[in-house]
Amino acid sequence: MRIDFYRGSEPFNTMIKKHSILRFHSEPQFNMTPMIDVVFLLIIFFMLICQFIVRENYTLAVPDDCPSAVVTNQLDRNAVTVSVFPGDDGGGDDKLPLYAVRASVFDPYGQKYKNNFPLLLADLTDSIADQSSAKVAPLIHIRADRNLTYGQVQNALLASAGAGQTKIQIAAFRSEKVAE
Amino acid sequence: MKHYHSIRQRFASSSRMQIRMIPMIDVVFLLLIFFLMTANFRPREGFLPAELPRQITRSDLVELEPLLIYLQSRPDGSCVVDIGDAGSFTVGSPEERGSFSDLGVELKKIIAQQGRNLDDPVKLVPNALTKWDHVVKTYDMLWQLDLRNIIFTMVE
Repeated sequence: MRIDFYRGSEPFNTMIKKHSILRFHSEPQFNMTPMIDVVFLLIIFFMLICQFIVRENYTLAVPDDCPSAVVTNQLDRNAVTVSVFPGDDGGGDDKLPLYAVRASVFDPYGQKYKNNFPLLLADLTDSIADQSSAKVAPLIHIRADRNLTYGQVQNALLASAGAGQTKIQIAAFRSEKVAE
Repeated sequence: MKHYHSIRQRFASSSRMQIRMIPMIDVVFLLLIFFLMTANFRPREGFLPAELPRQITRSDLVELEPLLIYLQSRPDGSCVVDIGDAGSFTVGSPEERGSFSDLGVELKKIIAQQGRNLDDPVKLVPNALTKWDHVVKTYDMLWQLDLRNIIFTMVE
C-alpha cells in the first residue's frame, strides 16, 4: 500500500527529496582562507607602518597652523627629542613644567630636583649631551606644549645650547588641528 | 590489481596531523581588535628648523642692528606684536580678527620701508609669559617671509 502525502498539488515525498538535494548542494560554507589572508596582511601592514616610539609619547599639544613646518616621511634616526609639557595637575604659567629627554623625565617637583632647579637644568643638559653623543649628526627636536610660556620652554633651549647642540627643530602642525 | 590497506594503515591515514585553524583565527582576530583599539595614533608633526647660538648669553652684542619683534600674550588668547618702533599689531583677538598672515603682510611692508634685506637679523623678544604658541607662530610667519636670520632672546 502506498500512501501519498499531498501538500498543495505536489506530492510531499517528492518535495522532501527535492529540498534535501537542494540543501545538500547549496549549503552555505564560510570560506575562511581568503579572510585569514587578509587579516594577516592587515597585521603585517600595521606592524610595518607603525613607528613605535617607546615611552616617548607624552601628552602634549604642539602649536598648529604653521605652514612652514616641514613634514618628513620618516622619523629622523639622529633626532633627540626634548619634550616640555605640563604636569598631571595641568600646570600653569607660574609652575614649572616637566622636561624629558627621550624617555627620561625631569620633574622639578620630584624628590631630586625640588628646590634645586639649577641641578635639573644641569642634568637636562648632560642628558641631551649624552644622547647626542650616540648620534652621527644629532638634531634636537623640541616638542613643547603650545599652552606653556616661553619662559618655561626656554630652559630646554638653554639646555640644548649648553650641550653644544645648536641645530634644533621645533615641532608644529602644518594645518590648524586640535591635537591630543 | 586491487590494493588492500591494513587496519593500521587505514588508521594512520585517518588520524593524520592537522593544524586546527579555528582557535588560531580566534586569537588572530582578538589580537587585531586589541591592537586597533589600543593603538594611539599620533598625528604627523612637522618641524620648523632653527639654530641656536653657540653660547646663549644675555648680552645684546649683535653686529647689525636687528629688527626687534616684541611679543606679549594677553589673557584673552590674543598676542600683541610690536615691530620695533614701526607699529603695534594685535593678532588673534576676537574683535579685530587679525591673523599671523596679515601680520606677515605688514611686516613685509615695514622691511621694505626700512630697506632691510632678508639676511638681516630679526630678533624675537617674547617675555617670560608669552605663550609658546605665539612664539612659534611668529617664527613660522618670519620663515614664510624667507627671513632666516632669526634670533631668540633669552628672558629672565
